[in-house]
Amino acid sequence: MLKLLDLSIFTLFILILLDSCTKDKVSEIPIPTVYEIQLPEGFPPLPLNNENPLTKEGIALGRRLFYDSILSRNYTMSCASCHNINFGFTDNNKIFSEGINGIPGVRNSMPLYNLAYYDAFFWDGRASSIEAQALQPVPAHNEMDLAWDIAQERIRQHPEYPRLFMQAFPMQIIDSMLITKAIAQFERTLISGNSKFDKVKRGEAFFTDDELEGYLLMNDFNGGDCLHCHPVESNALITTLNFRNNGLDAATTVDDFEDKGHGLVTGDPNDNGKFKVPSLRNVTLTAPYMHDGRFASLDEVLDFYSTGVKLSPTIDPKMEFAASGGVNLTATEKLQIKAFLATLTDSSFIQNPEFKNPF
Amino acid sequence: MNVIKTVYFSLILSCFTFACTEKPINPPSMDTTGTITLNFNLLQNDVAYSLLDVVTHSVINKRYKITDIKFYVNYINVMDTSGTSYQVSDYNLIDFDAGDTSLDIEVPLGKYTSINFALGIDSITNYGNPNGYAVDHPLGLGSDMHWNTSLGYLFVMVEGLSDTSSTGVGTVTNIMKYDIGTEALYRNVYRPINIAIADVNTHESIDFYIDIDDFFYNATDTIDFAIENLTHSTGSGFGLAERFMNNFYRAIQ
Repeated sequence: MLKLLDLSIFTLFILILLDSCTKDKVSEIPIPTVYEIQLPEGFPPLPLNNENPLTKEGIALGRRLFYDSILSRNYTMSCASCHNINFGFTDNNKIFSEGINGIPGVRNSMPLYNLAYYDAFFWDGRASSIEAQALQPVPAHNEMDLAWDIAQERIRQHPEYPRLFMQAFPMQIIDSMLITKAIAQFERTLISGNSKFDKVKRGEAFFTDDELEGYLLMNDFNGGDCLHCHPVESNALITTLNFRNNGLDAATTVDDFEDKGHGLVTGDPNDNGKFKVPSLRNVTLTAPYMHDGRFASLDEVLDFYSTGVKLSPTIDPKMEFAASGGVNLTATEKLQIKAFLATLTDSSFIQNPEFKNPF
Repeated sequence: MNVIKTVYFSLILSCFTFACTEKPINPPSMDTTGTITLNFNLLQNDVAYSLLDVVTHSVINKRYKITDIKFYVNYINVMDTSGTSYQVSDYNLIDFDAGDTSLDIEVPLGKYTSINFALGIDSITNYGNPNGYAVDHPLGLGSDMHWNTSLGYLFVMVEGLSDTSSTGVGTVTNIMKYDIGTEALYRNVYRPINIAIADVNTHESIDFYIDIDDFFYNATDTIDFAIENLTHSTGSGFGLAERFMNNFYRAIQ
């Protein structure tokens, strides 16, 4: 009986010991807080992202990295240098952004919002995820010009980042993949869907007469004919999410395009001259326009679609009026479309304190 | 006696417990189905065709190329030898430009005599909200097949470019665009088959061939794609859309 009692006490002791050990071990490893994006009304469900699930700690860390110049060789540039929130995360009306060495890029800085829905990034689609996109600007000589091995060492030696990484990505080694994972988490939260247009759809606001006419023109096959690529009426993202040649340049053969765009990525000459169809959300903030920033204003864009469209072997058949140079809008129609486009500006997005510089 | 009652009660209880916890999680269908792959192949004048190849129409004698073909293959039904019909799939999009040219369906074990599917979408779904689907769903925004809430979805979309001259010496940059939709243009494709799905390892396939020349010419209709080159299935364009859809439907062999 005594032996049995001894055995029970011993077993209890071991169990307590094991329990306390486990508790100590668990308490050392932080558990990141799962974060769920609150989508605007009418937005599609977000694609699943099991490889980099959103957490509060990961998003906060990514936001900090996005705004931190530690990722540029001479500590003068951050992601935000070319992606300014006040301009819909584009670059201050610049045609091409300049890197730390004063060398300009070759394409216009793209806006950053609703990225979570895309599966191809950059104007030519050369990155298949936000993480893969974020890997490229840091070592690029005409951007931040910092080798990733130096960048990750800087982060590892930083007085605060290792702790923040431990909170966001427990027990993982800080490297370029983890750094871009954090940045991607922040960028996935950049959802824009609260413009005047959205409020009109929700019954919270009204169009002016010009805005309404502009909206109708955009949806009219014989008006602006914009809906093939920017279906504003039924597509919450206001882009078809693919690559097209919208007739910017004339070409006799598929090899004639100066910038081959998507064709450089796919290797298919029939993709030459095609570029990503951008969303029209916040379009008034994101000048200049097109992949090469050739149009300084929306007036120039509308002039182009009205009379400047050029034929080429890869012209998209959705440019139905290409043979006659475009949709031939009147001056009034252009003003009306412009008025509508202004309703796509989401002020609450660019003023959202959660997206601003945390420093 | 009490022991017997207790054992009996325990047995009943364990049966209930077992019933609660051991329900199959997966539907049984995977254990009783085989697979049929539907392959869609493009031809031009009976020869294999790849998108973007410039060809001369065998009858109309004008140069053209197809840049994209997309169409829904919805509500796939198979009928077995007893006359029983099974709907085995709901929404599928064939998209040649994206390389989505085949699809797999799981069918119950049995012997099948026919298959049919819809080139179209039922009216309730057609006028539903595309934002309600995941972007990569056949009915989601990524399909790029939705017009607007009043017109709904395109059922079939064929785009291309044709020679700007009638003599065959121009550039192939003349727009061809056939956006086919609306309820009146819903079509059902029927194909007799003779396929036995004997066990779960059975994997059969059905090849469909679509000759692009047939979009524009058959015994009853000729569409001159250089002139009759554009329709959205609405207004004055409905007539051309109807002719094109009839030709497209017949072109699926």
